[in-house]
Amino acid sequence: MDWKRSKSSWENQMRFAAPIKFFQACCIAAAILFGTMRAGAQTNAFAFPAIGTYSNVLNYAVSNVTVVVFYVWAYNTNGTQNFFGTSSSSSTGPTNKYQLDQLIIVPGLEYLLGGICTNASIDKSRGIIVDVLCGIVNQTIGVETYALLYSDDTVQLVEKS
Amino acid sequence: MTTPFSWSKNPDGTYSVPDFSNYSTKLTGTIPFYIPNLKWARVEVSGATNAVEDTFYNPPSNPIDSTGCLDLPLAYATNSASSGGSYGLKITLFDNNTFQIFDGDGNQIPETPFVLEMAKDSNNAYITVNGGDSGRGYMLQSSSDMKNWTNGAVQFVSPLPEAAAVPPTFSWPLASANQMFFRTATTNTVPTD
Repeated sequence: MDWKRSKSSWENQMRFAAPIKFFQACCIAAAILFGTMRAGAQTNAFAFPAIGTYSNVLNYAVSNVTVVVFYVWAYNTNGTQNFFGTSSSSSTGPTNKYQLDQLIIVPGLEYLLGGICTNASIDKSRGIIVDVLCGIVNQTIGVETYALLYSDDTVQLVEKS
Repeated sequence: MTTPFSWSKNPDGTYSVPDFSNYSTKLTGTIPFYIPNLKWARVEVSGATNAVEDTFYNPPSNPIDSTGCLDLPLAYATNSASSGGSYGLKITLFDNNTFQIFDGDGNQIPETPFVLEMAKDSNNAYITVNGGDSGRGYMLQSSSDMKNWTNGAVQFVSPLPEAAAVPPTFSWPLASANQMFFRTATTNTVPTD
């Protein structure tokens, strides 16, 4: 038996089972008047960023980048592989995509590759692989997450005549 | 790989760094959201596909990554049905001591209310708790005077989809239940299996 029964069965119940009527009426009143109560206060509610579209997610991602990591793979002149890496971090994120790409990452790449250009032990003719990962530093536990934005590029040698 | 950049060897034997004026990063396939003190999360996807990420529903699926961030696949996060896209999202979080639900646009949405349903046989009354959102903690409370309420054990709404979940039913001796009121009270408790 439940509250969704037909009117006729409801009337039948009212006529022949008075104690249950009281019980059921009380339960209904409790459910309707009081609904669901909350036990304990809620604090520090999280405000989710605007998402749902590519531009919203891009805005969220760019503004939350607090660490940029650079990886470069190259070959030494003796044929062995070499790896270079560095990172930079900030307590606040960039204000827009151009700032992230051209004013933060590109200078870092130019600095890193500038060093490789003058490194005689690197075989420039074989090109290099450059990966850049942009992520969040979890300020509470100091863990870095590299998953907001990235690039995965190759740099190939062109000889000027 | 994207379009390669090139560096050049100059006539004097030196090398020049590439021109990065066209350099651009792109969004990764999974977008992390740092939510302080995130304890539990559940992501339900509907629309173009149906999926649930919840350790209690489908272990070891977990929308929380090893660094504690909530991860959303890019396709879901950027193509919300509430913005005219293909995927409906229901993101449920428990951080600090707060239970919250968000849609695919990141807007907070109200919780599904609990609705009590009553039944009886010759010996017992049965109170079935319908509604609520997966992972929500609650207690069934009883009172004879609607002033002093007695808490039942903490329960959690099933991680199963509503259509597959069997609502929990609590039994009471009919003689005492006849004179009692019942309600649910939510608890700010981290969900457990």
